[in-house]
Order: sequence, then C-alpha cells, then structure tokens
Amino acid sequence: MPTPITNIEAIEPKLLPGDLAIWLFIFMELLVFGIFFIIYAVVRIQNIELFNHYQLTLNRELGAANTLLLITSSYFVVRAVHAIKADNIKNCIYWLYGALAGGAGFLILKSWEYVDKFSAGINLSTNTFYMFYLSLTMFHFLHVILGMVILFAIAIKAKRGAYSAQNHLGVETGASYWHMVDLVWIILFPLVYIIR
Amino acid sequence: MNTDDLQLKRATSSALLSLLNLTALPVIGFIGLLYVYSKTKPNTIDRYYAVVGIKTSLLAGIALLLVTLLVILLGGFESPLTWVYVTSYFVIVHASFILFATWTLTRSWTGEKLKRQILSK
Amino acid sequence: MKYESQGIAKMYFIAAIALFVGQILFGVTMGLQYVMGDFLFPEIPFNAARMVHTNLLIVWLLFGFMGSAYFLVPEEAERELYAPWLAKLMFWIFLVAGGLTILGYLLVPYARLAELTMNDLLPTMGREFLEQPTITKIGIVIVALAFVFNIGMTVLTGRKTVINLVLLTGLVGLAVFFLFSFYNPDNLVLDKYFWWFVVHLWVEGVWELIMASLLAYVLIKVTGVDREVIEKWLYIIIAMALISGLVGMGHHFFWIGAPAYWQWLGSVFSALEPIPFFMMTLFAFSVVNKRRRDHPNKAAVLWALGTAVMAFLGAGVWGFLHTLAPINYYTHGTQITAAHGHMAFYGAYVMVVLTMISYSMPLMRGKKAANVTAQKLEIRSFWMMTLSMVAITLLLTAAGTMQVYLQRYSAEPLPFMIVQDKLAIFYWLREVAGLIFLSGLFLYIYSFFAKGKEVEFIAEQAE
Repeated sequence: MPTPITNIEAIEPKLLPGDLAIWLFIFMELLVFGIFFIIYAVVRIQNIELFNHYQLTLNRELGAANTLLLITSSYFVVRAVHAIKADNIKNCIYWLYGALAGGAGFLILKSWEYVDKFSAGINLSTNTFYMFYLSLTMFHFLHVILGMVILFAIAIKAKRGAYSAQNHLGVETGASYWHMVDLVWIILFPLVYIIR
Repeated sequence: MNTDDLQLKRATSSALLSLLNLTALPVIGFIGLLYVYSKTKPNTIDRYYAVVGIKTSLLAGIALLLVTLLVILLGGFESPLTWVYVTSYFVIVHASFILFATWTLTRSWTGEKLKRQILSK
Repeated sequence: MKYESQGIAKMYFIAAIALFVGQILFGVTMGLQYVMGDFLFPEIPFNAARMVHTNLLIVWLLFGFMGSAYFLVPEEAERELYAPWLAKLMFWIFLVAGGLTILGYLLVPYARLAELTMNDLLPTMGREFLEQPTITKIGIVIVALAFVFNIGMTVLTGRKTVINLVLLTGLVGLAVFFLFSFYNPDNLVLDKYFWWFVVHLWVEGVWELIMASLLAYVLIKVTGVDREVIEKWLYIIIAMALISGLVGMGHHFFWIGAPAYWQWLGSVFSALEPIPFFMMTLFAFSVVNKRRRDHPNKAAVLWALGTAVMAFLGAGVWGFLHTLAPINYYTHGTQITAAHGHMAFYGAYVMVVLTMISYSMPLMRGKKAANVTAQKLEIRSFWMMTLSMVAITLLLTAAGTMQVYLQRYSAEPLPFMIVQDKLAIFYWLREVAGLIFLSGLFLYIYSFFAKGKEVEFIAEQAE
C-alpha cells in the first residue's frame, strides 16, 4: 500500500517548471484560445472569400515584426531563469527588463496597427473577419499586458533579493506564463494574418 | 522515480483520463486509459484505478450513447416526448458520471482506493 | 466562537431563514397559479407573487451573506468587529425597509406604490428583480456601504487572509455594481445593458467570489486541511470565474438589440463559465478526501459538499445547456431558463448560506455541533430540499424542452397559451416537488429546536 500524498504537487515533482497553479491557469487560458481558434477556423471555411479578401488588408510586416519581438523577449526570459539559477540576480533583472522591453515594443506596434484600422472606420461590427481579428488580437493584447505586469512584479521582487539559485520558483512561474503568451501569438499570427 | 511514485502517477493519470473521456476528450481519453492499463500489474493501485476508469467509460458509453440512441430510434425523431426524455436523461446522467469521475480523481490523489467497491472488479 | 461580535450573525441568520420561508410560500403559491390561474386572485395576482418570490430571495440571501461575513471576518481578522453597534443598527434598518417594501408589493398596486414612493423624481422602478421603490434602493445602498465599511475596517486593521480579502472584494463589488440600478436610460437596449451590469455581475461575478470564500472557510474549519492548499485553489477559481464571467455577460446580449458579435463572444466565454464551478467541486472533494479530522458537525460537511455539487449542476451544467447562441435562439425565456434559475440559485447561493448557518449556529449557541437528533433531522431536511429541487429542475427542463418543440421548433408552431396547457402535467408534478421542498424547510427549522444526545467530542481542537 503506497503512502498517501498530502499535496498535489508531490505527485509530479520535477515535470513542470514553476508552480502547479500557474499550469492549471495556463491550461485554462489555452483552452479559451483553443476554442476561439477552432471557431475561427470553422467560420473561415464557411466564409472563405470574405476572409481571404479582408485578410489582405492586415499589415503582415508589423505582425512579423511583433512575432520577432515576442520570440526575442521569450528568449530573454529563458536567460533570466538561467541567470537566477546561477545565482546571478543582477543579470536576471537585466534579462527581465529586456523581456519587458520586447513586450512594450509589441504593445506599441500593435497600438499603431489598431489606430490605423480604427481611423479607417473599422470596428467589431464591420464584418465577421474584422470581428474575429479585433477580438482575438485584443484578447491577446490584454494577455501581453498581464504577462508584463507579472514579469515586472518578479523583477521588483528579484531586486529585493527574493530569489536565489535555491529558490527561483517565482521566476520560473512568471516565465512559464510569458511563454504561453508568446505561444498563443505564434499560433494566432499565421492563423489570422497569413494562412489562405 | 521509485515504483510507488510511478504507480501513484499512473493511478492519478487513469482517473484523470477517465474524467477527460467524459468531458473534453471522448474516445482519446479511453485509448489513453487502455494504454495505461497495459502498463499495470495485477493487485496494484494503478491497475485498480485503470480498471475503475475503463469500467466507468464503458458504462457511460452504454448509458449515454446506446440508451439515448435507442430512445431516439424507438420514440421517433419527430416526437417531442423523445426530446423531453433525451434532454433530461442525458444531462442528469452525464453530469452524474462526471461527478463520479471527479470524486475518483480526488480519491486517487490520496493514494487510496474508493471506500466502497464500485466498478472495480 | 472566538470573538463576541461574531454572535451578531445569529440575528441575521434568523431573519434570513424567516424570509426564506416567505419566499418558498410564495413559490408554491405561484406554482399552483401556473395550473390554477385564478388561485388567490385578485388578492395575490401572479405578477405580485413572482415579484415577492424573487425579491425575497435576493433580500434573504443578502441577509445570509451579511451574517456570514459578520461571523467569518472577525475570526479570520483575529479581532472584534470594528463597530458591532453599526451592524445591529443596519440589521433593523434593512429588515424594516425590506418588510415595508414587500408589504408595499402586496397591499397596493405597483403603479400606486411608485406614486407613493415618488418614483418620478428618480425613476428606477419597473425592471425585473430591481422592482424596489427608489427609496428602498437608496436604503439598500446605505446599508451596503455601512456593512462594507464595517467589514472593511475589520479586515484592514486585522489579520489579512486570502479568504477575507476575497470576501471583501466580492462584497465591495456587490455594493458597487448595485449602483447601476439607479441609471435608467430611455433607450431600451441601453437600459438592458445596465440592468445586466447589476444582475449578471452579481450572480455570475462577485457573488461567486463571496461563495468561494465562504465555502473555503467552512472547508478549512471542518477538514483541517492546510490553509496554503486551499488558498491556491481559491486563486485559480477566482481567476477563472472572472475571466469567464466578465465577457460571459455577452450571453445576455444575444437578442436585446446589441451588435451581433456578442453572439460569438458571449457563447465562447460563457461556455467556460462552468469551469470555476467544476473547480469548486474538485476542490471540495479533494479537501474532504484529504481531511485531517472528522469534524463532529457532519451536517455542515454535507452542506459544504452539497453546495459544491449542486452549484456545478445548477449553475455549470444547466447554464451550459442553453448558453450557446444557436441553442439559446430556441430556448430563450422558456422553462429551460426557469430550470436553470431554480437549481443555480439553490445550489450556489442558498446552499452556501445554509452551509455557513449549519457550521456557525451551533458555535453561536455554545456548542461545537448540534446534538445527534438535530443533526439527523438536518441531514434529512438537506436531502428533502436538495432532491426536490433536483426534481423541480428536471420537471422544468422537461417542460421547457416540450415548450421549445411545440412553440418554436415544430413545423406548425402552437401559440404560447395552448402550449402552456399541454405542459400542465409537468407543472402539477413540479408543485408536488415544491410542497416537499417546503416540508423539508420546516423540518430544517425544527431541527434547531430538537433535543437529543450531545455528540461526543473527538478531542483535537479546531484550527
């Protein structure tokens, strides 16, 4: 008879980096986006001409630049985790700031894109394609902001000396969330901007 | 991981797969269950939960799909009473299976068997 | 009971239960009026009975939430209530205002009530669930603000735990969102938006926070499971409730004249609304399975588990049943909605208040748990009320399905009243279930007075 486990985390000791709670949360988030993507795909098939037509009005160059920004910033977050594991708090904070800069760049480019679209009189009611384009990207936009808040909070805590080589669960937790934000964009970008 | 940990992990996976089979991943969850079952040995905690999971899935399959299908075939597609029966029946029975699977999952987290012999033999 | 001021909860709970009885009496009256249209006419017409039934529900749940907060917060904050006298004063103000309002509904025609209360100065009356005269609404705001102030000061000057912070957030939200009920634009679509900002953001938003924190508190007390584990669960449940619940409001905007994209946003996000309720079930099951002790108050444990299960069924499953726009197109405003409403309110909010009462009442009467006979009766009343509510829900679901088919789906749709006639058998059975519910409620009240052998103490002090 095996001994009872007192804690859920005890079951899977080293499988997932970061707190189990954030993984449950990430799972839920991916579920939301997943449902959205599936619906997008289904509706696109039903309105293929409309979607193909209006897809061309999107700014692919900005989208590609944003993809690069997020991937780079995800890499910086990886470096931050490595830094804290090597007990190098200073570098960890620098890498986190780098990642935040990447996120900020994303927000600026994206806002520019929105201003462009809104000034052309486009809104959620314009047509089905723009409805999906705007609601999907805006929902993701909010997640970038949330991810940045989390990274910023971690950077501040790191500055106060809350993390070390032994205790870096917080950094890993934040990093996991940021990777999810990145991952969602990597699926969203080709799905909405490119695939024809 | 030592054997005990591995067994516990398989036990909780079985319970989780059984729940997923009822909700987000029908059929796929069941295939997963069969796979976990194939790795277990008799009289262990993981075999126990794999068996509970498989039996739950099979029973749910019969109760939800077969019975519903029969009612529709017998009652006729065009009769309102068929839909009255199917809606109420399907919702309550499906929810009951989900609740049972959820209880099983939380039970598997404690590493012990269910208190009563349900669907395990 | 560790702090004297926790005892204030008792008067709130007694008032809550008394109003609960009133609510159910009007419920069974209306249930009969469904099949015997002129029953008690013209003294209590259907529309008045319905208004009293729903308004009493809201008022007694508010009494229950307030009582629960007054019991929970001092203990969590580890200090006496900031101003016990204010809590007592507000109790009487709220009770009198609530009583007068209900009497107003029953004794004078609604239009006359509006005149008497000078509704034309600031018109807020006439909307479902927000029928209260403007002066009553102002009274509710005053009571709510005094209450939030009292609780807030207690929390802020005492120990801050996740449970009391979540509870406080929920209560502040409850008070703030009620303010939307004062805005009553002429444009009907706009009016509906603001109406939902109160109704939806209450029951599918901040009330969920209140419910989760009350449930977590009772579960910590009766199972002895570590606070840390429970707090982590609480975070995830609340995050999910807010993510799904806020945009999920879109499921009310399908057919009110709002832009069509709400059909997508509302469907997707509200389809996720069962998740926080499911997580509450998972959470309750898992802490009960990992319990460190068997609490002598078995009835409270049962109520807590029952809340988790019934909230998932009523709010989660029955909500999901008709939340997707293509399905709601047929089911909107049929008996399916009534089925969902009954089980969701009972499972989530009625049961969580009864859980708190079940846990705290014995403590306020100087015992750790009610005596053996009382608990046995309370458990029996639990099953009577819960099972009859399941029956009511299933019967209304059946009636609703029939209604959708005959009135909206079939090739030759029948008129509303003809269809209602054909549903009579379901309504009769529902009335029987309602009477069983009422007897269960009387048994529940009787259980507080039953005498019997005291439960044996299994040493080990509670947390």
